[in-house]
Amino acid sequence: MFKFKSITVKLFFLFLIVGIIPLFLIGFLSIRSTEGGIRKEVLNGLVRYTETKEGQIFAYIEFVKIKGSYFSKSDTIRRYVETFKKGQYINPSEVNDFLKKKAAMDEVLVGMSIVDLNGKVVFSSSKSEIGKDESNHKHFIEIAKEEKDSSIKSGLMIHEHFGLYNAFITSHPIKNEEGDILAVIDVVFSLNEIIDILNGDFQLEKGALTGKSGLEGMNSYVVNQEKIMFIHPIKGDLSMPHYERMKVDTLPVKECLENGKQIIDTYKTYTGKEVLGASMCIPDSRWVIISEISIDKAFLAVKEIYYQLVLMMIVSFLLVVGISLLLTDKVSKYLNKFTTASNQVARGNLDVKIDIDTDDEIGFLAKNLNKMIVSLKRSRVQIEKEISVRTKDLENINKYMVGREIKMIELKEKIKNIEKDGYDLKKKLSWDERLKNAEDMEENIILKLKNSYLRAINESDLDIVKKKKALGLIKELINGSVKHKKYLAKINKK
Amino acid sequence: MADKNKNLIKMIENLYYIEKDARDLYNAFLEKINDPKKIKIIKEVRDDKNKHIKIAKELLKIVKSK
Repeated sequence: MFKFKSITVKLFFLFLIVGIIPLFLIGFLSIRSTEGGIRKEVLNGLVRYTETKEGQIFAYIEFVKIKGSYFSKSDTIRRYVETFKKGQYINPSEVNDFLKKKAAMDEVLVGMSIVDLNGKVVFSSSKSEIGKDESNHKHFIEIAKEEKDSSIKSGLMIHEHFGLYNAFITSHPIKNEEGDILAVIDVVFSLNEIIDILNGDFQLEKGALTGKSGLEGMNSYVVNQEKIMFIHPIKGDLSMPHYERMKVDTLPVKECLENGKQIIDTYKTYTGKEVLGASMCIPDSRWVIISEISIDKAFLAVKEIYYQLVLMMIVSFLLVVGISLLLTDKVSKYLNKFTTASNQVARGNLDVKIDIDTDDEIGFLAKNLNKMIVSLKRSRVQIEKEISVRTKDLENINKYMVGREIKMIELKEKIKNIEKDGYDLKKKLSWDERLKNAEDMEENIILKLKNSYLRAINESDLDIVKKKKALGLIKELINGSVKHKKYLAKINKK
Repeated sequence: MADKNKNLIKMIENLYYIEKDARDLYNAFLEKINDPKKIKIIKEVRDDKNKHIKIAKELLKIVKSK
């Protein structure tokens, strides 16, 4: 029967509480601390990774600018342009083939075109580009207007060139020796290189031993000033116009484009999922490089720890329950033995023995209780012996007293008979003499009361109250007879 | 134990009869003795004996009541 008040149940719950609560507390604190540590570590990792990618992208952009510059300063190209500008005959196929060969020599190059100062493409590595009007194009306008001080203009291509919508373009002025701008050369580079930089393939292709050192499950991409994700590590959709691609209006993009701030925090990404992320701004091109990792993936380790901890807690719980049951069962058995023995002793059975043989306090208590029971048994035997002896004495006294009483009654009967039958005898005793005998009679009553009755009542098994009352009455009788004796003595003296 | 009680009851019964006999004796004295001073004392003793008979009865009751 389950009784909450029983010591066994209380002990069981005590063991349970003492064992489980610290376990839960440690588990909770450890998860919290691990979570905090991992969050910090993941954010640091994201920042380091994004900074590295930022540096690599910067370096790549500088690299393509230098490459574009190289073509703008090429003597051959300048000669072609000067000839064309002077209105002298020049075979366009020769120039186009030259540009095509140069473009084909470099895998990062998509193509290049020479634009005259009216904004018309006059030569190109691709025939489809020749004749296109670029007079409204931003780079062309910027370079053509600046004239002598014009410099390289670069950025994300916003018009379709060479069959691509998504490429990086650098525009360079082609100048004569006096520094006058003769034309503009547009050099178009594939974005695949930047994608490779982001996903680490670029480094590996260039001979690096590691390139994909980012966190597992991490996602990096680049967003332009129109909040369009134009570079994503997954290749394959470069032919799609970038403005038709994913619009990313998230916290890091807003902070970078609106406030020029970089973000290292938790926020909701373009898919609506909560992520840990770090962003870097490229102010020149107004690009935002973002590296993110979903909360689930970031805290995968915490989840694993959590599952391990739950498993550990279940095992510990079972262990604590098992140990508690074992201990409480043992204590309960001991307590039952003590209870049974004490019940037996209470009923007067002193032949019981508590059968516990351990070296601990319980064993010590059992030994002492066994000794106590043995001692009680001895005392009881002794008392019984004494009672038996006393009872025998009392019986002897009583026999004697009863004998005396009977004799007295018999004597009285005789006296009565004598008084009735022997008138002569009566006559012989005067009433004065009888008064003297009455004094003796009172004396006898006193003695009898004192010697026999008081003792008999004292040794009787009357309860204390009755005994006390009976003794009081006997004493009253004694006092009365003492008084009578005195009175009679007084009369008899006279 | 039972014998012990029986004896005690018997003793108290005897006491009762002794006191009763004594009262009868003092009554007899009152009939036979003419000295008024003695009569006064004997009367007092006889009255006491009546009380003693009652006490003995009470005692008997106590002893028997066990």
